[in-house]
Amino acid sequence: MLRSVLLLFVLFHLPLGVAAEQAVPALTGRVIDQTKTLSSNQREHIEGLSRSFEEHSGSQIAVLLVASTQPETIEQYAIRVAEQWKLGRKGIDDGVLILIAKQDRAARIEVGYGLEGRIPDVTAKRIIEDQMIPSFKAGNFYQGILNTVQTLIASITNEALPPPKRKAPSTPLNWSFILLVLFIIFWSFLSSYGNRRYLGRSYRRFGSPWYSGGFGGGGFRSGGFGGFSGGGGGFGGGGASGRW
Amino acid sequence: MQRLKLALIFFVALLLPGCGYNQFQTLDESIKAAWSEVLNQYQRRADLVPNLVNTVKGYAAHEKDVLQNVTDARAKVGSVSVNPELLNNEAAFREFQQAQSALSGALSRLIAVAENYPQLKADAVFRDLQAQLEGTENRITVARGRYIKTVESFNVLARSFPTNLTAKLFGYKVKPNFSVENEAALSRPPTVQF
Repeated sequence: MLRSVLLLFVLFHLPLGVAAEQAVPALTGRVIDQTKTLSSNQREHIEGLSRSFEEHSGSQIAVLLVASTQPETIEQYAIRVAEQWKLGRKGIDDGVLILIAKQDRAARIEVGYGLEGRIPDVTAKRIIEDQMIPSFKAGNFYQGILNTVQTLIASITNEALPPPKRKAPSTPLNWSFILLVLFIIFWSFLSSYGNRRYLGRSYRRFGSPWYSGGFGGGGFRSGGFGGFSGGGGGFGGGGASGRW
Repeated sequence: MQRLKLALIFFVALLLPGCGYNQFQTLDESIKAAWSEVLNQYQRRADLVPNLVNTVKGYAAHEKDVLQNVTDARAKVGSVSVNPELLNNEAAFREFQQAQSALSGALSRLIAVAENYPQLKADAVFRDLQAQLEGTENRITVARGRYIKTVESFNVLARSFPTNLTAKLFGYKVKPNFSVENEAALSRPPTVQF
């Protein structure tokens, strides 16, 4: 009796064979290639372009290659990825996601709110048609992606976006600064305990300013840590898709 | 007696944060914002229609039925009065949805017609308009999706205990959601083949 109850219990909790949505991959880098199409050199080259562009302008461009977006359409999957990765700076929303579903033979450029002026749907469509698809049809994915990233950079460059925040100083300096001030305060309290006369004089004031907004709104700057994360940018479904 | 009264007031005060009044306010505002976005995108699509009609007319002038359909559908969409009250009125909401659905259908047929006219298909202006239309349809989908999520939170709050008591007290009804009728026509973007 107990065994059959247990069996029923287990059966009820088994997952059904329903087609589940594809998971959004973790944002481990600027170019994520699940299809192993690009060599590591090629990937690094594109990542380098994206990184230097972010340092120069603050906008974040990421590339994702997946085998397929089924059961969703590429548009549905792309907006999910973009919403989770949050490319681009918060409030400025200057992120771009290039998504390629190799097996589906579909590609999409998902444009953040802030870049919809410089990369309207028509421009995105043209980039896909002219820069991506001819190369993809010939099987040269690296060239297609490279051209696309370069064209996007050129298009965005003229947009009058706010400049990126100053880079974060190396962390050891920050901490020693804090510790130093804490020590001074602690020491002044200690010395004032015995002799109240010295309370005012022993507390030294620091005139130099703190480093401002170390990490700013842009998440980590990869120059310092080598990691990459989205800056909190928003997406509205703008951009274009193409098939080859 | 005084102490009992104080204890009672104390307990009631404890329950207040749980009644969800503030959450209702926040979600109500989120819904209004999400709805404005949906309307925004629908308007953007409606604005594309005149250009689209003119471009197609240049190549396929004798497809009068299809062109007239689109123009009429757009006029209907424009005539359905759009105001925040739409969210509180199921019938008006459905009327709005049907008008938009009709426009989607008419646009699908217009794009399909263009398949028979290779010159039209190759026309740069037409292709640009198609790209804009696709982009707008996608934006509509995204805006609706976000609206639906916000409405879901609100409706769950309005139906769960104990916040449903607060809802009854202040008259917060379950908000309308996009229904499935004609959903096939509405959700399918105009097919584009290159």
